[in-house]
Amino acid sequence: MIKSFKYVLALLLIMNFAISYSKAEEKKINIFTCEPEWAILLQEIVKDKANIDSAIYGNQNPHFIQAKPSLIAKVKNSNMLVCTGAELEIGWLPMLIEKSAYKKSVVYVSNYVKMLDIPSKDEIDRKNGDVHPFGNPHIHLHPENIKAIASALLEKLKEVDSLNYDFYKKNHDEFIKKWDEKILKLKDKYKVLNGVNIVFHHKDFDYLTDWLKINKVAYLEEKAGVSPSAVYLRSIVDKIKNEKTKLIIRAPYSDKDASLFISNKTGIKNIVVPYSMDYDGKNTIFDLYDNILNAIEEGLK
Amino acid sequence: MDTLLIILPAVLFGICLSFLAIPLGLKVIKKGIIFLDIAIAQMAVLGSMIAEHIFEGVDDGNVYLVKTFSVCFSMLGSCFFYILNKKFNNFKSFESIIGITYVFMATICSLLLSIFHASFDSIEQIFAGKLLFLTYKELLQIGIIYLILGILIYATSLLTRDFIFYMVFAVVVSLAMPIVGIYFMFAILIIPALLFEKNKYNVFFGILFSVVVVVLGSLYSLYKDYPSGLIIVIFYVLFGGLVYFFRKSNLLFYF
Repeated sequence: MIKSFKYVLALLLIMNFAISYSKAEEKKINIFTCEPEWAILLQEIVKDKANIDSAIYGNQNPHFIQAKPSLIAKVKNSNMLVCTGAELEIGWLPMLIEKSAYKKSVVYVSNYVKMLDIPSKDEIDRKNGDVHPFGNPHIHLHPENIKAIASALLEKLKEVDSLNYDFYKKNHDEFIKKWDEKILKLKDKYKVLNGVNIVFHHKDFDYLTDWLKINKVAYLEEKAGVSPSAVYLRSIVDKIKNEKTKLIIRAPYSDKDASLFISNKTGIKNIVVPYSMDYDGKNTIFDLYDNILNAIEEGLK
Repeated sequence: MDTLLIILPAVLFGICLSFLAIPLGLKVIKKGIIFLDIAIAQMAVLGSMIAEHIFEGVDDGNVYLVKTFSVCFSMLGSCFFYILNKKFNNFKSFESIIGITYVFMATICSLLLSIFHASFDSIEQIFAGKLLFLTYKELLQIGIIYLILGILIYATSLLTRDFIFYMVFAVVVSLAMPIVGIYFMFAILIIPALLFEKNKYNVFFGILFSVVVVVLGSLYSLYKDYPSGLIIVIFYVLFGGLVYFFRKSNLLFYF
């Protein structure tokens, strides 16, 4: 009896060592992203070799965030922080980094893409609303940006987690190949959108319209980030009617009143189009583009 | 342990604030002017909005300029209330004027927002505050000012002078406002003071209650991962109700 007990004990000890050993071996790096689109993109590269988490959920406005204890803890414990930059998170990221005493690498992915509408010096004034001096920060809706950012992230991963670099490189190359095919397919499928006249609430879909050559008739926001006044909305009704606008589009976090007002006055359909997706391990960047373009296509029917 | 450190500055600030807010709250309740804090808080917001507009682009020390301006603005507002208080002996009309001032200030804030066409940081902080983002540096800076005010309140009898009360109130509220937000400010001033108003040791019990709520609320918000400031406000109301209920049912004889 005692003998067998000894064996059991020995076995347990060995198992214990084995478990702790495998745990040590599996020590993953933690990556924290500000916006979920970067988490979704990173997932293509790191697969299961890193823990990824995102501060913002899919359809929250990236300009604002409500501080929760876990947010600070996650930044504290991460090895790499990935954010858009270009002042998109200016309202909360500096505070978050200071509070978490985070000193490791922060990747601002907007540094790696060609920014749209960088304002001239005279335009940078609070009177013009939330003007982003480094250009439009809603960069994830241009497929070329996704490619550039994927490569930039791979380079950063080389510094942060060099052990797994080969694995990341392989995934990255596979992703780029698949993404190139996807771009061609989407461009072909949504040719119809070329030159279609659409009104947007905010400048959040500018990269998409730039890519697919959608014609932006107007923005409902007179000044970025500020709810438009009724006077301004009335002043653009005629323009919207005359230019044979097909659709009014807003992101899920934008206020619906302006869209409904214009829609009522002109009889033009207004729709909500997804802007990003929750990072849940299942959603992919391919799904995001499919969902957005599907929504626009459905809206045009 | 590591995660506990995240909420530590918030808890410490809540405790500091309790020591100042309870004596002030008791006085507010006694005077029957419970909306004074909301009006003063709104003045602090208006002050920082104007300051942000004036000092825009002044990078170094900009934060301090804005803070100082907003504190001075609230003190000016407080002066106004002090003078009014002398003119109106009738509580009802004085309380109404405080209410009217609040509505007026809040409207001016909204109007400025549309004139300046900007989303001011202070606007989002009016309601929820940024308790969790508080750093030790800020805590120390405000802590020193609060310490001086604390000595003024506890070691001297200056608070019994109306004018001093109005000035101290303006400084405490306008410094705490950007951190805790308007709901928290109202709760910490009014609820403990209202509960223990008639007790002989009202200041002691008020602070004890407030500290317990701040600590438990912060721990619960950490455990459930909710925004701390909002949870603490909810705890003030729930625990306040609980103490009231126990006292009514004679389970707590002493209070």
